[in-house]
Amino acid sequence: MRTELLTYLSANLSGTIKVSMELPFEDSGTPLYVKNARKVYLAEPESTTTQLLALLNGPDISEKQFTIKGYLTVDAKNRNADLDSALTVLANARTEASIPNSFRKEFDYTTTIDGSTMIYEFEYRYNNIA
Amino acid sequence: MSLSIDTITSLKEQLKMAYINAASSADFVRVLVRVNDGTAPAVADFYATGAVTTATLEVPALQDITITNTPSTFRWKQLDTASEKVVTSVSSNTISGNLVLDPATFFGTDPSAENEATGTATEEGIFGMSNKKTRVDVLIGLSGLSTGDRYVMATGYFSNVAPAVSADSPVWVSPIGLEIDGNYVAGTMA
Repeated sequence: MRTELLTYLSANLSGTIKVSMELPFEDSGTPLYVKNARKVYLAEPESTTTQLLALLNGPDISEKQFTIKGYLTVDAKNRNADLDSALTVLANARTEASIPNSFRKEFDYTTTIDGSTMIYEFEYRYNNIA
Repeated sequence: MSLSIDTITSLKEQLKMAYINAASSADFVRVLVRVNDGTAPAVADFYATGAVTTATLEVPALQDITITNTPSTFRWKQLDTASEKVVTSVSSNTISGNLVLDPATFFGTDPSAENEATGTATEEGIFGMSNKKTRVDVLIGLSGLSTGDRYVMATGYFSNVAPAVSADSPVWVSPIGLEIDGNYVAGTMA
């Protein structure tokens, strides 16, 4: 799931904002996405399983939601010219990345300003039959 | 009037209520269907020596099931009473429920059987039996089919089969109905 998203993003983020294949780990206490601005980082998927349909005579049908968090730091003072198109690519990855068997695909992001940087924290959510 | 402790204990035992458990795996509701052979069904036709018999279809993935027995009523008014009088007449019996579609049981293991003169329940599947208007026998184990479990048995026809899926639904689901011909037979598994 993360691999498919990275494949799509690396092929489509062709401007000043690129994608990193690394996980957003911390280096000397600073997250990589803060250290390396204008690079998109995707974390490993997290999953939760919940009951989708209760059945009388067998195991219930469950749905598994995979959540993949992502991060991007940009300069808040000098906005990247291609930031909007990069955000469009990030949003399009929700459906365009080759992730099979998902019956619900969601994407959203929030922003926070930290000094002179703006951090985009985004999240992809995919629901599959478990 | 005073009652002895023994009498009170005895009365409490008599009033103790039991429940039909359908929650644990051994007590799951079981719905077995087979093509009617022209005779009244018996439990052994569906379930013998602890197993579902050949050519009997076990309906999987049930979401709910309702066994309905609705007697018709005849009402009239009399000058000498303040309220209506009523008697019941013949009943309308139906079984209804909803299920998640399983391709093998819904469409059958042999789709061509749907067009043959005869086919078993497992070959025809629920859709095939409904489409062909096949007369079927049904056995419902209310809490499994172990010794002592209650069952309801009947003969009828599939109806109200309407598989559907929507954009935000990951699986196909369908209501199913059975229009029952005649009485139910209720009993306890031997």
